[in-house]
Amino acid sequence: MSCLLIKKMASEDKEIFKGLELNQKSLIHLLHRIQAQYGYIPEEVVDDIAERLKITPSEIFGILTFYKAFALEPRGKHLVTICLGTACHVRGGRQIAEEAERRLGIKAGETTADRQFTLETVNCLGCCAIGPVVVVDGVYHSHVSIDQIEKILKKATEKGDEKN
Amino acid sequence: MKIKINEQEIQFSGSKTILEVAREKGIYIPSLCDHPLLKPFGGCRLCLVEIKGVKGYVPACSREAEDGLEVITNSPVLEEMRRQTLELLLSEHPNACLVCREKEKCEEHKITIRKVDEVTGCIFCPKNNHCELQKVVQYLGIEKIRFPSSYRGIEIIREDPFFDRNYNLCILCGRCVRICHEVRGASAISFVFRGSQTVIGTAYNKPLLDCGCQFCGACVDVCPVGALTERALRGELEAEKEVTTVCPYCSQACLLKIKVREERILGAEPANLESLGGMCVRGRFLIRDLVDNPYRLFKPYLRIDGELRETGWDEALDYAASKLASYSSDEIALILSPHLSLEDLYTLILLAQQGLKTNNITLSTANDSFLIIEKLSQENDFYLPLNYHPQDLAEARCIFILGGDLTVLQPGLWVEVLRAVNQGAKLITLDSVGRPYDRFSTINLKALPESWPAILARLIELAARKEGVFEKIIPPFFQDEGIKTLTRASEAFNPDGFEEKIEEAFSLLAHNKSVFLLGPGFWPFHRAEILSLLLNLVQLFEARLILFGQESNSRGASALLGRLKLWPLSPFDLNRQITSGKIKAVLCFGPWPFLGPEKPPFLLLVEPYRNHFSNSAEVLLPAATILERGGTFVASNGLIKRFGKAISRLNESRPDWWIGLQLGCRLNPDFPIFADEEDILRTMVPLFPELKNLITTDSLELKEVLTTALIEEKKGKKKLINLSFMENFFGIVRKGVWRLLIEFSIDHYRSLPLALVNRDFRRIRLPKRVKLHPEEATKLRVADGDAIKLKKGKQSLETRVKISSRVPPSVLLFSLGLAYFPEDPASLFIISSFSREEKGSLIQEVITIE
Repeated sequence: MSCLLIKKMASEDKEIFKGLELNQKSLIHLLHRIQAQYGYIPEEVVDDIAERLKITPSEIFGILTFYKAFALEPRGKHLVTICLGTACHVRGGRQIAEEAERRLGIKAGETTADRQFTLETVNCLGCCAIGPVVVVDGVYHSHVSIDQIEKILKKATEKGDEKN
Repeated sequence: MKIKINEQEIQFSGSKTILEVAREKGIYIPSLCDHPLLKPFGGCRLCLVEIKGVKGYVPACSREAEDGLEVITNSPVLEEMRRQTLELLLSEHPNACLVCREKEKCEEHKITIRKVDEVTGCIFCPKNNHCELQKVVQYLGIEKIRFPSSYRGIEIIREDPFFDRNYNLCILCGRCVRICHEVRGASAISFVFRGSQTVIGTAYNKPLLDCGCQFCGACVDVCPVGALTERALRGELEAEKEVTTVCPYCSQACLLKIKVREERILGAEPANLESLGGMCVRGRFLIRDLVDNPYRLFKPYLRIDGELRETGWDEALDYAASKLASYSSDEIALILSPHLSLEDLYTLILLAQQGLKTNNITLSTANDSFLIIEKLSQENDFYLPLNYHPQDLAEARCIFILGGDLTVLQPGLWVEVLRAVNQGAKLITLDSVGRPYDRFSTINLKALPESWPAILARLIELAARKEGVFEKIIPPFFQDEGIKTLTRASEAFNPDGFEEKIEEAFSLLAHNKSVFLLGPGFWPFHRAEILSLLLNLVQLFEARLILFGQESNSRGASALLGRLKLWPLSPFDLNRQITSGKIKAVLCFGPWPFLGPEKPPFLLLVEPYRNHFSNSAEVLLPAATILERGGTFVASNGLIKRFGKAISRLNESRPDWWIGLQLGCRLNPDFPIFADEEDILRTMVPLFPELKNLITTDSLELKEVLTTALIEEKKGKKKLINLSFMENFFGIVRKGVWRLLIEFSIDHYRSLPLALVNRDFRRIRLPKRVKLHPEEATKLRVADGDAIKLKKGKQSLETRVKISSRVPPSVLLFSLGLAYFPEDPASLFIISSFSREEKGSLIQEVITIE
């Protein structure tokens, strides 16, 4: 999809602005909708919503980069999120993340070349009791150990294939 | 109210933070993120204090002082906490020199200079010895950093004009982000990323040029460390002295602190907090270019055998005087720049009246708004207060801006408008082009300038009906149908609900305390008509009028001419008389924007700079710039500011008044003699009684800026101006698809266009580009920077494109200053694109693009 097309869609897509006041307060809500629709926040859209919400692109960029929920680049088909919060960290979250990086051949925050997986780390998911936690496409895996990673990743691809 | 700080009882009043109360009393609490212009932030955690009865530790910068609080600022626990916080900060900041034991000896003997490299030491940091971090480290006596250091290794950003950004030195105090957002309303930068990755940055790391930065330098001025530094100061030694003076560029007249070393200007900084928020790129970064540039004239020149030759002052003046004496008084004209000081203007008017016996005087600003108001109020016998105080804007509940980009032309005023808007004032803008402050405005009236009179007239009609003075000022030809017909007839209205927008604007203006702000606008601009309309509006709404975007002493020049009842020739009249041969000799003390192809037989040029006229001048006399001599300006708010020189005169240049005096004495033996500027001011007192307070010492020895207010003689006498002139008003008739729109800029000092002498400034203003709407650019298949050729009949102009969504479709937007007009092929093209029709309206010729 070309960038121009995306921009057009965002600005003409009435649905995306539905029920929102056109001011600063709506920013995060709007970004969530755009993230859900496009899988990331395209640069052109930022200029567009800046003008509509009467704020500057730099201010929006500050918000975008603050929250892990927003991606600056298109994410892969499957999103793997590994928790590195304190509780998960002390139970080996770091090693799990490294294992996932090795298996997928990418660093945290990157997307595989075949656009299948995006690997991300977060600082806490709020479910410390079941750590270390790995979330794949919204499914929480608890008490994960290094040797389970391969299976978890495989399952994700199979699930995706079934849907197709 | 009382609080106790460290057992010391302190009285205070009003709403203040603990930190402010402590500072006023001289009690030092270390702090790195707090700044008097900014809201409390609580970011650096160094100002933590203990309050009796309050659990934990409280940042003094964001805790309001309440009656009866007992505060401890320096307990051992606090000191240890601060030390630890600072050590954490320093672990990410180059610190080798900061904690070095040989620091003191190093200052003198440079024993360790080679032991630390540029990256980890202070010695090469531009902020060395002015750094707030250094001060705090010294206060807390840090000798060792217990945490491992990590250098961020971020590349220094040098791509933007005027300043470098080295975020390896940044301590993330957020002052730059906050001043950009809170004070300037630009929000060009923000905190990006999170946690240990946080940096200050722009959207997608774009250069500041593309992020709405105004290059006011406020971020550089508030940066406590060396992260943001002015590039021109790199490699310069410390200043020997700092002189406070008045900015010579616009009528905001900010106070500047000029850094001087060996009689050379290094740079300028805002001299006080008020100027800090409100500076513009010209005053902050272009002061040095005014004095030091390759166009400066240092010696008098005479044309001998068709060639300009260097000569002495006596010879040049004698020759000029003898030549001038050979013309009759009607054949001579004087052109004055509103950048001249009151002393200069007064002496030069005396030269015209007593030396040359002529009243052919004109101001190089074609149609100065201040002067038009002087004239209108004298003719119609009413008085309008133009002086204003910051509180006039602060108390306004509705602010109406028209006629130019306030953030570019006079940001000092914009800062005050923004403050009012943040306190709930409503902003209405009437403009042809998108402005950065559109996002703050409640009502945005977008229309081409030819429709403005109709829009203002419609507002008057609504107000006049309400006040019951409709018949009195609305001429009969509008009374039947009303001005609606006129607004409907004028083109370029927003089709949807524009009429409603005007009515909404009316109800805001009618029900609130309002202020109108008028800028220099667009050329050709119906300034006299617009001012007449505005004067009615101002009186009907009991509002105030503030003029912005004028040259530094525009108000002073107009007041002087107004008090002498001297109404200058219009530049068009002058041109006509030169072409017809009626005027044969011209003395030019400023730029001369509207000169036609005909040059007068005798041209005497008095300017600090060589310009395009130098080649046709008979005599060229080098004037000193205002920074080399001091003077008196009247700011747009009515404050008269008298200031001294920043550096000594360069070479053989002389003040304009001295040149006028020398010529006057040679032409008329009875010409009054002035020993110095002091003397001139004393002579001016009968005309300008306000100046009495400013006469204390010779301006050469003046160390500070003296200020007094311009007296407002009478109190508001209401008189509405009849709108009968509107009958003949048809605006501009455009032929063809394109409408040329020419925005006035004041990016010049006398005849020097600032973009000519500063590359960085050129990058910001792009003076020679034509701006186009993105859709038009797509249609024409041109990108930013592409060359296009504008054609009109047989004439053509090659120029480059700047795509901007601020420009309305089917408009070609140029920005031109007075100093640009003749030398730039664009200006000749532009001026000749308009022809005057009967009934006063203009016709714009067909323009095509290749």
